[in-house]
Parts: sequence; structure tokens; C-alpha cells
Amino acid sequence: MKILKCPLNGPRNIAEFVWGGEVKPMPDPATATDAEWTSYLFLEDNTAGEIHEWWLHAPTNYWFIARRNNISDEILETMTADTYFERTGGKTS
Amino acid sequence: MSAHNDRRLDGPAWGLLADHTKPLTFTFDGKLFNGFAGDTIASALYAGGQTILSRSFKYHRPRGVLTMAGHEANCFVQVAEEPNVRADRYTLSNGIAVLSLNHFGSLKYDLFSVIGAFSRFLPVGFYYKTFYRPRGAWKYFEKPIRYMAGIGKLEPDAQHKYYDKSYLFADVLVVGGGPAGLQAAIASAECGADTLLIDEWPALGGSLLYGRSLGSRADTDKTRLELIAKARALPNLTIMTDTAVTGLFSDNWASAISCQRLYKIRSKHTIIASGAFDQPLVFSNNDRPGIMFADAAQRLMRLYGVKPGTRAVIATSNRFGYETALDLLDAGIEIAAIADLNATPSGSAFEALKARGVRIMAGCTLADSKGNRHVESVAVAKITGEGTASSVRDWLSCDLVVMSVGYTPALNLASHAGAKVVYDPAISMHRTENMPQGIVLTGSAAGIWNSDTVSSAAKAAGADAATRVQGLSVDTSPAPVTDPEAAAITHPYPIFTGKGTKDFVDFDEDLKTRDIINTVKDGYDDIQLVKRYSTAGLGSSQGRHTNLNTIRIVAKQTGKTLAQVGTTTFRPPLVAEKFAHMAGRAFEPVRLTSMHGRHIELGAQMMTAGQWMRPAYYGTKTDPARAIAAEVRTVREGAGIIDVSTLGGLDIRGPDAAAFIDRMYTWAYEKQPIGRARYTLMTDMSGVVMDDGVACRLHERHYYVTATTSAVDQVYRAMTWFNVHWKMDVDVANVTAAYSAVNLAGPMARDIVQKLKTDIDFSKEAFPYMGVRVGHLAGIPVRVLRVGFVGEAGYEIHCPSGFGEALWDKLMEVGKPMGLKPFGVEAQRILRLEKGHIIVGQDTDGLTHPAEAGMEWALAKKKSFYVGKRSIEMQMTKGMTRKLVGFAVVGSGVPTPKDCHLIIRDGEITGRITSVVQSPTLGKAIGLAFVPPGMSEVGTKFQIRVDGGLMADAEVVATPFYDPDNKRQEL
Amino acid sequence: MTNPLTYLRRAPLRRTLEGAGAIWSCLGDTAVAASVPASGLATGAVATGGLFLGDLSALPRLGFKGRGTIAAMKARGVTVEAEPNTAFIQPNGSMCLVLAPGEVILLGDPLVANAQGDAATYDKMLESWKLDDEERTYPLLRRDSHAWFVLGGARAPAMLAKISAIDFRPHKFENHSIAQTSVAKMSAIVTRSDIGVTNTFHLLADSAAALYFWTSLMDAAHEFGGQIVGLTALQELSLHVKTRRSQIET
Repeated sequence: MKILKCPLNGPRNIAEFVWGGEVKPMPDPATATDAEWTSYLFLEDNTAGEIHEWWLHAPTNYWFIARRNNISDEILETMTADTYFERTGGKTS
Repeated sequence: MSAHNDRRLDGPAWGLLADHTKPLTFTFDGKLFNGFAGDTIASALYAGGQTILSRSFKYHRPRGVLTMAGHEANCFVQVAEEPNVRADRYTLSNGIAVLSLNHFGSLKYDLFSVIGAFSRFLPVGFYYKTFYRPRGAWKYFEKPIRYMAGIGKLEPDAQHKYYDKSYLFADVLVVGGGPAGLQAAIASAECGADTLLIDEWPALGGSLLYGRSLGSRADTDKTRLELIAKARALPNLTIMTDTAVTGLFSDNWASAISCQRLYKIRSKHTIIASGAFDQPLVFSNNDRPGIMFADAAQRLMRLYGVKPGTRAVIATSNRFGYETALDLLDAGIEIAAIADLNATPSGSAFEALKARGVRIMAGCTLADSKGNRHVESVAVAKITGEGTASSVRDWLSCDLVVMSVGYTPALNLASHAGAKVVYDPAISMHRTENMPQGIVLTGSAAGIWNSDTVSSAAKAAGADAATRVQGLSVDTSPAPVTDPEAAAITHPYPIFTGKGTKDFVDFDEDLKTRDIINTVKDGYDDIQLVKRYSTAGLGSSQGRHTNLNTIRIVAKQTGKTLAQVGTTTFRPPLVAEKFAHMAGRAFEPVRLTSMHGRHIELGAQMMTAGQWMRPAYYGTKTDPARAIAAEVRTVREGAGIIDVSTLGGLDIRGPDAAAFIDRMYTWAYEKQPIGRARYTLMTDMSGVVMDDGVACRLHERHYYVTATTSAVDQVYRAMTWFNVHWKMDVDVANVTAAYSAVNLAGPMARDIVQKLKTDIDFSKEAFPYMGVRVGHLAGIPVRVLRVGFVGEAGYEIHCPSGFGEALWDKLMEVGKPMGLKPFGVEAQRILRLEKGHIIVGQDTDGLTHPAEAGMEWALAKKKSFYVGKRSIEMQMTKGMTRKLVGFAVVGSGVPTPKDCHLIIRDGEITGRITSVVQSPTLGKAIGLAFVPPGMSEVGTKFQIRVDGGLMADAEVVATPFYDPDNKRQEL
Repeated sequence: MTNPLTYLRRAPLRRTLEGAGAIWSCLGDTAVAASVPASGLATGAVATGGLFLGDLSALPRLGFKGRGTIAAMKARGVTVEAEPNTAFIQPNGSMCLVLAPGEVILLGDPLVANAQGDAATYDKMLESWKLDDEERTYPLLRRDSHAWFVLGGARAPAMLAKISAIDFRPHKFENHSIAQTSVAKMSAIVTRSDIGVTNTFHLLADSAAALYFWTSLMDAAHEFGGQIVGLTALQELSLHVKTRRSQIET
């Protein structure tokens, strides 16, 4: 059982968490082309390496972001969504 | 009663675990045997002269004690209804009935043992090769083969036993309580770490319990007692014996089994001091009862006080064989000879035995054995080269053969955790590379054999672990320890085979040298394929005594080095886990509404709805349809009450509440008046219908939104996820459990509710359809919604759940004289379907978009954004491939259709039913179905394939089926 | 004799405790199990014994949630800081559990007979709260959403280890810390708040699953000889601690 460190609750068994998908920016639905929109919804990069993912700590319904190496399955760091937005200039959606 | 037995050893040096003052009796295959408290089944049987424990898997050869550590399948017996009990590990209790396994007829005269004579018809890989021709032959062969090869008997009537699970926590976990593990655990605890020491034996000490690692037996025992005393005195050292660690996983997560409990252990650092497994000498007929590992003979004597024989031959290549010989002499056992595989024996134990005049045959191996159900003599032969021996044999009579030709370190747990296992030719043993962080090996598992080095390395490992887990600075890790003595432990090729002989490499699976050679010849020369094709190491030993010799044979056959051959990966569990352990005590939360007790008292038949229990209907099980129809009529004609507490509820509060709901749901809410409810439809980003309910505006900044029972958690998660992005000034709270609710429905509903003391004006004019009021009813704080899921005038009354039962009581009290009756989920299903209301998740699926479900009216056209808007627009442009329509069955004589029955047109499947009921109100079967758009016009006829392949005629009907002008709910 | 059915507010385990022979007493707007004779446990046994369990669901509690919650609590005189997963003990003995930077639960003090005082305080807080106050804090009916159990004694951490993956041993889980975690496969809020030297935990969990949760607790407690206690035994234990403390101080 892996450990995932929740920014609010600290290190916990990963069974307490729900995976929320890879973090990816949402194109503006008003201006995106059909192709851009369907690509956002249904196509994944399948990056092998470091990715950012949404995770939910289920007992507290707390969303946060983890940076994970999906080759070694190492969780490199976890952060609040705000920290992530600050780093990326506020872009996820 | 006299406990004397000439196979028993008396005196304090013998039988550490068996209490000779506490005799027990038990039966083996119905025959009475004596034993002592602390004995195992195998030790007591051995003492009683019963040295055959089982018949082997394939050839039904008699087998006895090999490891005395439960490391292979030949020790399996059945105890009452429990199959596959390890006789050499199972502690005796008085009166148990033990049965032997895997024989036909008696254990002594197994009728299947003649199979041995036909063994050429059971070649390696025989499952793959034989019985598959002619085609279909397997079905005739399978049953007898499974019967012959089966181990253990499942007892279908076995009593259910209580198994459970528990977590355990430690800073440092030490696996193995031998000399290394004890030292490591003591050092770790002394350095302040919260330490957990686990050992699979009933007593701590490992090889200190039976061996001579500190020179003499007395010194070894003294050290053991000192270490144990030291360990027990440390308050931060928890010791668990009789507990087997079965697996090691990521982030220092280990599983362990103790009796009927599975432990899940979380540590910060793991020290594996799991020792090493004795390895067999491969020679013809090396499996006869009486032939055993050196440590098995030592355990029989030292742990249980049982003489393993009267006259012994020892085959060895290391000090352990000689040390065992000294033990045998101490026990009064004659030694016929010691065959040393080395040409020039050395060491203090060797010198001692030489001095005592024991015959030592240097440069010799065992080549064959004879015996009828027990070894009676062995042949000693001169070694002529790697794996070869002279054909000149010296037959020595004996009733005990002791093997000590090498060890393989127990690297299983390290391998589970991700370490790489590699062969080290310098020591003729495996070791690990790339150990995961926070896991170290010590002791013989780490290739350390010298007792001083074991002690110093283990202490260093324990201290280092303790320092790290306490976050204290660690400059350097302890330097890797190499022990020169390790090279003298394991013989590089203890395999002496002859043509057509029964020289066993794998005692579980009955595999001989020839089987491994043939595997390679059949083309399976990769070690992974060798394992799977030959089944070597697949038995309960899990390769403990099989892997190394298999790799040696494969290397020899392929001309590769052992390092090049590699090894197979060890998989958990290391020790058998029962399904019962894994199932444990199941935790399945059950949610009950505050009115649950009342439903039971009223004779409700309960059904599950997700985690919730809900009344299906009220009445006996004898005629549900009649009871349900009566409930429907009560609602249509008088008044009914249903517990809808399971409905999801969300409080959405804050300045942005309306704007937030506008973004989450498809319809428009910003202009919704306070005191009104409005239908809600939620779609996901791909436009698929997720949920529906109503949004009640209680205040400019407060909405109370209902959600379906099964979807509320998803809805709440989605809302909070979106607001992490949107950062709107709004708070979302899931208040499902905080509120109980009833739906009071029917023409009499208003009259009933008005009988109660209230500050809400329930008059038709003051409280119209889709109105919402907050106030009190019979002194209970309530939120009342005039919504009409069942299509009659009615009120959904929500209250804090602590008041739920009282609300039910008050309504029933005033309603009873007016004919109020409870109704259940089944009646509600009919009532809502009569009104044509959909249930999201039943009448929609994972692809349904709103237009398909006839929900275009709930899509706000002017809003610039809502979740799913973009996708829904694309879907609307693309057009529909199916549509949800109402239908009614016409005609009679065929069974009523059921949910998911298929719609057939011209022999093709064109759609399916999502909901269907026999409507008591309309007197016919009605339902909802997905059909192609071309079949969705009212009046279109189609056929439904119902039970028994019969076809029912149906036609598309406009919905609502009942009260199409919606007059009744607005009364 | 108090009949819990005379009250409009009833705790989720009313029937279960009645089955165990509970003797009820009035607690403001509801009845609480003052003692549960089936357990037959003396006060001294509570203090020194291995394990005790009680249902405090009848007692007052109230939650607030929203980004302005901590400031709003301070404005109401609650001793609290924005330190998630910490319990702040109030001067009157009640507690303020900080679950997140914007969420608290106020728990009335079960150990002294002022539970009604806490109830009045919380009722007043709820009544005087207004959506238009721009405080950005929103009340939550925690008395209805969550059942409240107390669990204590030397064996409590070992018992909890059978149903939760958190290490609740006294040297690993400090007094007044909180774990929001999974207990018996349910979300639960576990707060350590010792009574004197007796290791004590307060568990808040879904009221709808109260019976399941209680059954799971009882099952896990069985091997440790866990005993059900009523409110009186708990209060006597607390009183016993306080008396001893004042004796030591004087």
C-alpha cells in the first residue's frame, strides 16, 4: 500500500484517496474548435514520466495535486491546487 | 501415564518447545498417538514411529519430514475440516484428528504408488503434452488426474470461523528473530526507535534454538537467553512470535499472519533477517522418509526432544553437517559415516569428530538409497567431477540421512519489495541488488555467516535504521559487509544424477533432474519458462529448496553461468495465506434512515439501495404485487407516506450561490424566486446526464439542492472540483445525512399536514406547486418542498435527521384516521413511471445526453456556460441516434416485459427497455424504452422479446401516461 | 423515569441502547443513556480498565464551514486558530475541532453537567447567524449528520488499529490532535482528548451508519473486554480525575 501525502491531512494510505485524472488545461469552450474540444475530452498524451494528477482525499473531500513519475510510480510531491496554479500562472481550465 | 518412549530425548538440552510434563493424545488416520504440549504433529508422529506423513504429489511415493520448518508440501495433512495443514509447524492440541493426504487406500500401501513404475508416462510438462489427443480426451482424463494429484479435501460443511485483520505500526520492523534479527531489533530499540520484531516460530532465537553457531551448544543457548532477556526488557520493542511475514510491499508495507488474523504492518524502515533455507543433495531416491536436512534433524532433537534415528549417515559440505553430527552423538545416535563433498575437510567440528573416531569419507557424495517406506541404507560414492560420482558404491545401513550441502538466502521479502536478486559466484549463493529505500538485509539473508560478523552487522543495521527513522542525521550508511566464511557454506553443484533415477529437485511437484533437463531440451531454456513449463518451484515451497538446483541444472544444460541464467521473481505470499485471512472480517457499511425502526415495526420488506436500506413494500412476502398495487391506490386515492431520507442533499450558500448553480446545472437559476424549487439536470463535460433533482432557493444566497441517492457523492466531488478552479464565493456542503425526509402524497396530503401545528401556510394559494417553505411542523424544524415525483398533490418534508422518527410518528398519528398509509420504493417506481418521470442511471446510461432523454426543455439556451454545454451543442448538431420514449404493451397472453428486454424490429435489435411496470392505475404494462428516432413517433408499433423468447406487441405512447395535463399534482 | 420517545429529537442508537438496558436521563431537548446496566461497569473500572465505549450522539454539537469560519468563531469568543486537525479546548471544557482552514465542529463537554449550557450556546449561535452578515461561514447540523462515540482506555489504540490505518498510540498521536480518516470503511473524524491520564478518543461518523459503526466498534472491542458506558460513568471518571488533581495540587 503506497503512501500519499495529503496537503491537509498528511501521509495516508493511498486507499483513502480517489484519483481525479491528469491535470490538463481546459480550452475555452466558447472559442475552441470541435476538434480541440473533443481532443480535450477524449485524447490523452499518455506521457511516460512525470505527470501532474488530481487526487481527492475522500474522508475530507479535499482536492489537491500530486506530481508523480508514472514509470517508477514514485510520488515526487503533493501540493494544494493554489500552489499549482501559482506555479503555472493560474492555468488549468 | 508414562511418557517414556525410546525415540524421546530427556533432559534440559532437548525439547525446548515440547513440555514433557504435559502429555497429549491425538489420532492420525484413526490411530492413537501420544505427544506433548508444544509438539508439532510431525514431531509427535516421528516420536511414535510414524515417519511417513504423506504420499507425494505425482508418484505417490512415501514422504516424511524434510525441513521441520513447513517449507514444502510433503508435510501437508488434514486437521478436521482444515486441509493442507503443515504437520511440522502445527502445534498439537489434545484430541485432534489428523488425516494424511494424497493416497488411495492406506498411507502405508498407497495403490497409486505403482504410478512410479509408469513414470515415463508422466513426463515433464505432461499437462501440456498428454491427454489433449485425441481431441476431447482431456475431459475423460481430467477427473481421475485431479483426484490423484489433489492435495487436501475441502469440507463444504466446515464451520465458519472468525478471521480478522489489524494494522500494526512501527518505526522499524525486524523480520526474523534469530541471532541477526534479535541483535538488530535490540540495537534499534536501544537507539530509541519504536521497534517491532516478528518471528514465525513460537520461540525467539532462530538457529540459536538448535544450532551451535557460537561453538558449543551451551554457549549458543546462553547467548540466546541473554539476547531474549535483553530484548524483552526494552519497552519500545514489541515482539510477536508465531507470526509469519508473508509479503513486503511499497513504502514499507508488510503483511503478516498470526493464527486467524492478517496484520497489515506499516513501518518506516524494514530490516530483513529472515535467514537462509537449507538445500537438498540431489541423488537417486533422495526422498525416502528418514532423509532430511541437517536443521530438520536438529529441530527434532532440540525443539521437540525427538531422536531422528538410531544410526545416521551425514552428507555435508560445510560446518553445519559436522555440528549436527555432534548433536547426534550427544543424543546417543550412532554415526555410520560422514560423506564430505569437499576433498579436504576442515574446521573445528570436523576435528572434534575425527578425534572421536567418526568415519569421515572425504570427497564423497551419496549416490542412492534403499528402503521400504523408510530409508534403510545409502550408497556413498567418490566424486569424480562436477555432478559425477564413481559407480563404485559403499552401501551403509542407516535409518537417518542428514543433508547439509548449502543454503539459499531468504531473499523473498526483499524481492517482493522490488530488489533484484542476482547470483554471486564467489559464495555460490544469491544476493540482492537495488534494494528499495528503507529496506535492508542482515544475517545469513545478507550472506553473513560468521557469528561475530552477524552480530556486529546486525547491530549496525539496527542502529542505522533507528537513527534514520527518528530523523537524526546520518552521515553514512554502514559499509556493506562481506563475510569470507560465506564461501564455505554452499557447495556449487550438489547434484549427482544417473539415468532414469528418482533424484528429486522439487519435492512438492515431484520433479527430477531429468525433468529439468527435458524442459530445456523441449526448448524452454529461459528460467522463467523453465519454471512455468516444468512447474519447478510452483509448489508450496515456492522454490525455497528448488530454485538454486534448477538454475544449476539449466546453467549446465545451456552452457551459461548461473548469473546469466538469472532467477525467477519471488511473489507474495511467502507463507500460505488462506482466503479467510484475505476476506477477514468484512466491513460493509449499511446506512439506515432515522425512520428505519418504524418501517420494521410496520412490517416492511427492506431492500438495499447502494449502502442504504429502504422499504420495498409493506406486508408479507406472500403476495408482493398485491401489496404494492394497494400502496399505489392509496397514494392515488387517499394519501401515502414514503421515507425519502436517502435522497442526497446539498446546501449551497454564499454570494455566488446562484451563479455557481447556473454553471453546474443545465437550466437557469439566477432569476429563480426565493421560495421556489426548480428542476435540476446535471451533465458532465462530455454532455452525459449525471444526475437530476430540484434546487430550492431558500434565500438570495442559499440553495438547497437534492440529488439522487447514488449520485450525491459524485455530485459533491464534482462541485468541489469545479470550484477549486472557479474560486467562486460559495460554500458547498453535503448534508445528506443531516436531513431526513418523507414524501407525503395524495389527494388527502394537504388535509393531513394541516392537522399538525405549524407556522407554514399550507393553503393551495399560499403554497403552490413547486413552492418551498421553511418553518416548523409539530414543533420540528422543516424544509417543505411541493414537488410531485409521484404525480399527486404532496409535500416533501425535510427535517434534521434527529427529528426524523418523530416527524414520521406525528404524520402517521394525524394521518391514520384519514387513511394515511406508508408506501415503499416499489410503489414509488410505479407511481413515477405512470407520470413518465425518468430515473437517472436507470433510464439513462453512461452515454445518454439530455436530448435523447427528452430533456431539451431543461437546457438553458441563453447561458454562456454550464458544465457540458459545449458538448451538448455538438451533440445537438450531430443529431440523435436514439430517443427515450414511453410505450404501452398492447394485447395480452405474453409475460410482462422486464427492464432491459430488447426491442426487435424485422429480426434486428433496435432498442431496449429501461423501465417497465404493470400499472395498477392504468391496468396495463407501461414503460420507457430507447428506440431509434424513426420509431419515436406516438403510435409507432414495435415488438419486445420477453421471457421464453416470446414477443410482446407494444406501441409508443405519449408521456405522462397518467394525468397528462399535470392537474393532480398542482391541486 | 425518562422515556426517550417523549422527545422529538432522538439519537440514532436509541433502540440499540434500549436493548442493552439503558437508563435514560433528560438532556435538554433529548434523552441520553445515563447508564447501560448490561455493561455493569464501575467508575473505577472505567479509569483503570482496558477499554470502554459510549454513545454521546445525544450531546450538543454544531459545525461551521466557509472561508471566514475561523475569524467568525473568534468573533463569537471561541478559542481557535487556523490549525487543521487540532482540537482547541474551551475554558468551559467544550471543544472546537478545526477540520480545515475553513471548517470547525464545536463539541459540547460530555464530562460535566453543563451540556445543556453548551446546547444553549450553540442554539444561540445558530439563531443569531445570518447569511447576509458577510462572514463567509455557514452552519452545519453536525448533531444530525454525525453520530458521536467515545472510546477510551489503555487498549483503545490497539482496538482502533483493527478498524483504522492510523497509528493512534499515545506516543504517535498527540492529545488534542484529529485524524479525518477511514474507520471500518467509513469516513470518520477521530479526536484524541484524554480524560486525565486515560487515553480517550471521540469519534464522529455518518449518523445514518451509526448502527453499523457501533457494531463494528463493539466487534473490535470484544477481544479487549470492551464495555459500554453511559454518560454518568464518564462524568464520574472525569470528576474522579479532577478530585485527584485538586488533592495533588493542595
